[in-house]
Amino acid sequence: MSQQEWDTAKGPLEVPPGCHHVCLIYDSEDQRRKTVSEYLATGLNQGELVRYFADTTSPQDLRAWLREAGVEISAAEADGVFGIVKAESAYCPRGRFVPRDVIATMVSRYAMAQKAGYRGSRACGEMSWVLRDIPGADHFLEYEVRINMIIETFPYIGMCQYDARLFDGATLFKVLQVHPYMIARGQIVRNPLFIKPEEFLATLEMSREGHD
Amino acid sequence: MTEEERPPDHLKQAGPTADARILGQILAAQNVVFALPDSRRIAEFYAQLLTTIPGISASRVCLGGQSVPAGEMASGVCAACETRHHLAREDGTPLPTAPGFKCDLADQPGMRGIAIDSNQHHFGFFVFKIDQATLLDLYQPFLSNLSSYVALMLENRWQKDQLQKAKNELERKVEERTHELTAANEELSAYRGRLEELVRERTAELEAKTAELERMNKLFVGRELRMMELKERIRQLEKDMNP
Repeated sequence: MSQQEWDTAKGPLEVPPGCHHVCLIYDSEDQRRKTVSEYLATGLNQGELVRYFADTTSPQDLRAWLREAGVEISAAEADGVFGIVKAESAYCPRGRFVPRDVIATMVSRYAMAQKAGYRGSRACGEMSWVLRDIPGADHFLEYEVRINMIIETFPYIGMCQYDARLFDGATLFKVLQVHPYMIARGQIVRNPLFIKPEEFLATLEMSREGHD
Repeated sequence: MTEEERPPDHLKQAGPTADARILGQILAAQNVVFALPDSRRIAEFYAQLLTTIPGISASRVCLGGQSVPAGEMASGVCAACETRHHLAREDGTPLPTAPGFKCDLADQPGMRGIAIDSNQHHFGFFVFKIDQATLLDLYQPFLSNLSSYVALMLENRWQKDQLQKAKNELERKVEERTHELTAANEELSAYRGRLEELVRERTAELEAKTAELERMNKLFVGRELRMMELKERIRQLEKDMNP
């Protein structure tokens, strides 16, 4: 779909061409529920391989959301088209968060989806686990930046959820600086706060050096 | 340069112009404020945003009794800030808008401030340390718009909170009154039960007395009939003896 086609025919959570990395900053469960279920439903309806990395949401609740959004989830789960994985297991498979490893897994999942004939590969992750005392969790911004650096080659679609009731305002600002798209009032929009990955990494490096 | 080669007046550059990307960032920041749940997070978010604006080297956002810095900025004067103390003491209840009120920190040399005021309340200040005034001048009107937008959102949120509090208070009163009415009803019901009990007792007593009276009546009537029979018998005997 071209930008022009998308502009004239888009749904509220239709991912625009070239948009692969979106963030959702929310402060109410109702708001999140609506956005997440629409986002996942869009992926499933378009024949994509969809994964959900859950931290606080139970699989039962997530299935109920999708059923309400009109998605027949049992068949999709049984066929492996849709899967719910615990966020900590997905992001920290060996009890430690290593951005490069997680990105490598994303890339291989994308390649596998391509090989299996899916139209794409989409994921949605709850990021509240980074606030726990997990080794490497403080590198989550580096991970978010590096996704933007590989996405041209592996147009993997991902939505990262940040609960504004848990993260401080300064971190939320940085989260916006590393996502080229954001959900604003229920719609995917281009994020003008996004800065080039190299620029952000340099700032991150400088702030780390300042702390050392 | 010939007359034809000369650019038209509206294309002549008089100096630096505002960067569309920065203006986009200021606009985008308006959309994020809705997802930030409290004054602390709003202050932290906007303090970071302000430091990305050309011409600003550090910032401080005062909101709801809290003052959040981003970057290097002395803030000794903030310790004596009456607004901040008032807001902290009053648990975030905003002050009425007072046009004469100034931020002492923003009044320092090399600093500027923008009040976060709605038409009813004063919520706080954006304060920034300037490193290039001419650059900041390009963005200040947009930052001023942003502060108005934040103030409007905070005013709406505050009014909504007040409405919610009034609703909660009303619901509490209704619940309290319902509780009182239920208690009064229960008391009334107990009285009625007692009254019915009394009526039953009285009826039973009356029925017993009536039964006793009937028994006595039957006894008296029986005795009367027996007397009449005896009288008749005496009269018959007298008649037989004196024919």
